[in-house]
Amino acid sequence: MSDLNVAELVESLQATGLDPVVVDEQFFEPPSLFLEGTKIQYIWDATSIEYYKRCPRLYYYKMICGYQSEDEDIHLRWGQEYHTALHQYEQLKASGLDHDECLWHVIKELLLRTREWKPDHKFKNKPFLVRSVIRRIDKFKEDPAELMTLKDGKPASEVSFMFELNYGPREGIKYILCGLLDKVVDYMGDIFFMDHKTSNYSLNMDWYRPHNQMSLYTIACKIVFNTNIKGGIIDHATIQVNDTKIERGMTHRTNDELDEWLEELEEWLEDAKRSAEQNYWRMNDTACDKYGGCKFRGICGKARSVRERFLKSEFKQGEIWNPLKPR
Amino acid sequence: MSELEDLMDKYAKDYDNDDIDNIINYVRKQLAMYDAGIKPKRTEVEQLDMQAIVANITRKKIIPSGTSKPSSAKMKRRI
Repeated sequence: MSDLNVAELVESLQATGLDPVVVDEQFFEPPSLFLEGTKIQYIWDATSIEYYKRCPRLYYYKMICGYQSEDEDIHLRWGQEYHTALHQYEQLKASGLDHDECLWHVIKELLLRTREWKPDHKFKNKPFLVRSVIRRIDKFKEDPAELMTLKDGKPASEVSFMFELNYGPREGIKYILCGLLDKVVDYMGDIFFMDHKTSNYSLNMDWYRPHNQMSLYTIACKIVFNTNIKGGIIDHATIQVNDTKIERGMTHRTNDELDEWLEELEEWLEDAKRSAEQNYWRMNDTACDKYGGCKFRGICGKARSVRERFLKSEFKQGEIWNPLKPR
Repeated sequence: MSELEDLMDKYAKDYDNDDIDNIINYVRKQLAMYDAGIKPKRTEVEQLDMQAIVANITRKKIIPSGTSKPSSAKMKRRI
């Protein structure tokens, strides 16, 4: 296990040509992730990096065009509501309310927020959402992973982070990495970030090493909290027909793994910039069947001359994902 | 989950705070029963769904003869 502190981390990052700077700011008018008048993204989060790594064409459809399927809308909203409920619980608990009072308010707010929302999905529906929130909150009524407190006295739940790299797509403009840590906790005297996940499958920790998001979050947590961090805790809810099973697992990163991730990121960002400049987004046809099958598989399987027409009829162009937008 | 849906719909209609308690109590009771190994009683719709699934499985088992190769075990037995 790595015993590096942030100073050592920053030192090692500098050795590889990187110079992270913490930008502690909440944007109410989120800036565009792209350089003005271009398709060059300079503010990146784990989601957009993952899209590009998985398939530049997928990245183009999602991040540049903003295409979304109805099914994705349901998954996104369901996940956001689940996260919001757990975040509210932490805030209420920190304000001094007892467990049952907190849960009561969380469920009330959840029902009010979703009163017009009627997802038609076997698992990602409203009753399963309410059940999952209650299951998760009751399961960790006495949580051995204690929520940490930020310098400003607020609970370390939904902690935004941003930091610059020391290179960028243009002269005078540096790349920025950003994201949102669900929680930062003290578990048995060690610091971990915690990430809430939901799935129809039971937790398998092999999924998380290597893992783009977990590597970025480990780096971010080291920088933002200026302290030793042991890694991440995956707080996983398996949505089943009659139950929501809550499991946890830990994922660690050595400093060498983090350096490797950062070095490779530079290559990926350069590649994405080249794609944007040429406005050519190649397809990775080995990724089409991953993650339950790409939503755009049917589109990429059609002739180039008709793809645009099918895209417009089968998908809707919604708001482009912006991690800086307050949720 | 239809009983839970009814409770949620009732809250969405009346905004009665007592319904929040009823929802939480109902879910906790259902989960406690599940933990104790007591399977929830299926609703009429769920029963019909199950019948459809069973019927589908049954249909899949009826494969016209000559369309699939016998397994290696069967081949060995035949030899």
